[in-house]
Amino acid sequence: MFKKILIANRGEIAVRVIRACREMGIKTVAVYSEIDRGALHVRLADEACLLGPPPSNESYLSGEKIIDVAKKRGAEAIHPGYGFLSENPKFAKDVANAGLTFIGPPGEVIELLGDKMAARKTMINSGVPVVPGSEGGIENQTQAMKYIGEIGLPVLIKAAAGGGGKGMRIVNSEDEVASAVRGASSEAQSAFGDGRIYIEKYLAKPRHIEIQILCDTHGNYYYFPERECSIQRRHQKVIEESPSPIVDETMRKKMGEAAVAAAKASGYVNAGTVEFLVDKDKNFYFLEVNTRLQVEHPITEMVTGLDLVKKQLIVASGGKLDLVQEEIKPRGSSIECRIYAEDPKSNFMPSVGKLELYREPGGPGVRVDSGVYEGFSIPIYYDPLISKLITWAEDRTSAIDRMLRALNEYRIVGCESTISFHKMVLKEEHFRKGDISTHYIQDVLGGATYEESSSPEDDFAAAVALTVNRMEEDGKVRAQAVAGKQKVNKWKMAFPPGMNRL
Amino acid sequence: MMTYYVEIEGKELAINVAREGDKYIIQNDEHDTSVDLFKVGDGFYSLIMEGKQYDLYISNKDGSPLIDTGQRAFSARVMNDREKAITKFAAEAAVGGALPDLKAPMPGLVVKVLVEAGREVKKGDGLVIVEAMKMENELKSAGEGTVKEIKVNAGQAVDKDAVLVTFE
Repeated sequence: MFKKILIANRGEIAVRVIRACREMGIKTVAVYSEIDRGALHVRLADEACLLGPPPSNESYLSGEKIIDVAKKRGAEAIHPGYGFLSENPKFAKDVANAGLTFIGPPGEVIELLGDKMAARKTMINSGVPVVPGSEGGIENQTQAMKYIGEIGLPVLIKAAAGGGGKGMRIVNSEDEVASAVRGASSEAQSAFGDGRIYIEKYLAKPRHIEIQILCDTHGNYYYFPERECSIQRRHQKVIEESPSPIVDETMRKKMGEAAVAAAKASGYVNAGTVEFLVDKDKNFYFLEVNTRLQVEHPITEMVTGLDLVKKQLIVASGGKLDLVQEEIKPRGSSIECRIYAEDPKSNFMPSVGKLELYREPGGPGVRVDSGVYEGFSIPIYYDPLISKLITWAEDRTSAIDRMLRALNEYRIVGCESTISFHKMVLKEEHFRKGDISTHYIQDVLGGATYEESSSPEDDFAAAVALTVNRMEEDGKVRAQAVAGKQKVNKWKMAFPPGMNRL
Repeated sequence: MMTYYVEIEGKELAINVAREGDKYIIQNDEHDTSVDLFKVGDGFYSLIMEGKQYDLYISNKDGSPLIDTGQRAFSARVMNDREKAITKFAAEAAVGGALPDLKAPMPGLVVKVLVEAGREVKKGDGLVIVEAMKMENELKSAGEGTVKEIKVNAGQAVDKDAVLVTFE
């Protein structure tokens, strides 16, 4: 096992990796930008090195500097976390070329799976179901029309290098095809420097269900119970749960085996996630592979009792995974709510500030993965994630109720947060029944102007506390005034300022 | 008995209060009760009123109190008799009045200024685009008015509450 590793990340995920290392007796090197000098991941690490100014491309995205720091500090491996350099094939290769271990799959695998079109082809060849569409790329309207004839409208035109909804167009009618092909290609060219596009059937209201995989270098491949991440806003997951309310044991096995087939086809090593879209008839289709530890990995840990970060470290150091596939089963139910520094009342506008009051929930079945502390100022430069609140309970309804309880205990003052938004979803009938899709937020919540719930009773209690608080303050001021009445000037002359406060 | 006026989210409550031992008598149109406000720590209070317990946090930064009930955080304004009278007078004195200055709601980078001095704006018109955390946010006019001065340029970094645009 490694003696020391560097964590090329910040925030809650850096803290998460440091915690696993601590438990395994591995020393940690944190890296940070100027604005993160006081960040929690720096405070918890054994060693820390400044990378540069706050902007990501001068700090957390600066691969060369990070590799340099790792070598200087004697770290044997680099954990990239998620985001930043985690899915950058060049970085993974550079780390390996520098004689260090990249804690993740090899650069070549990241490269293959990062190319959506190449990944799709690999999956088709290994029998993993993909969304009906073109096998390779399309170049013009005529080719697009040929596929539309086969699979029918609506379709999605997507960029091979795509991500985050860029270079993606929905086509609902034939007269939109020409402009969609042109638009997607030029957008992909400018966003990724790669204008290649392909075509896929557009699934109406799919669910997003993904499978965690874990593979060692000794030919062992494992799949984990599924995570359902259908609750999304602007293609970003906000609530995840495991297991999915619609997946039974047969489907779980089928999806798991497909995910392992995908892993084998791409020569996968370490932890990864195979994402699928699921239609209303429970057919599942390969979407993409995320070649890193996912944000939502804790819910898998909660239902399986396995520590995925520790497993990553075992795999990266050449160790063998001693798991038995049949024994990796979900026990109970787990949910994660991503708590962002965003204001649900103003269309989720980022709301940064100093955390004047910050109190995390606790008690049975509650886990908080956070990268902040009371008094910390959330910087404007990075993802505004404050924490991930995770609950576990014996069944889905109990996990939801436990989450509501934990959200009620969570106290954040100093910036707005998405806590109240989560409460609204967790009380909503469709969500509670498990009747969800990736369109849930726009369809069910309807983008309706969001109102926080507050009873007149609470309002009055707040007013009473403020009144009493103010009266006491006024009383203190008056007492001072009385003490200094009449010959105020003499008092002031006789005592330096502050002395008359007895 | 003293009277205080508490403004929460546009509503105003007049509350009479008096100290009685270590408790407080609270009276208004609907309530006449004794409450127990226990200071737990700096800013932290536990209020017991009519048998119910409220876990509260009060912050008094910058003279405008903020209270967090756990269900939500309010910005509030608390006035005593004298302040209430002054406010009333000031409100009557102000005729019409200009729009308040547009201030940056968060620290960020000015991406684009959408108006210029002299421009007449309506409620909801975009004024300035500010980028924070890689997201662009269009700041809109709160009402009708005329732009007096633009205080920032595109590309400029601004702190929270920095004045961006003033009105006539």
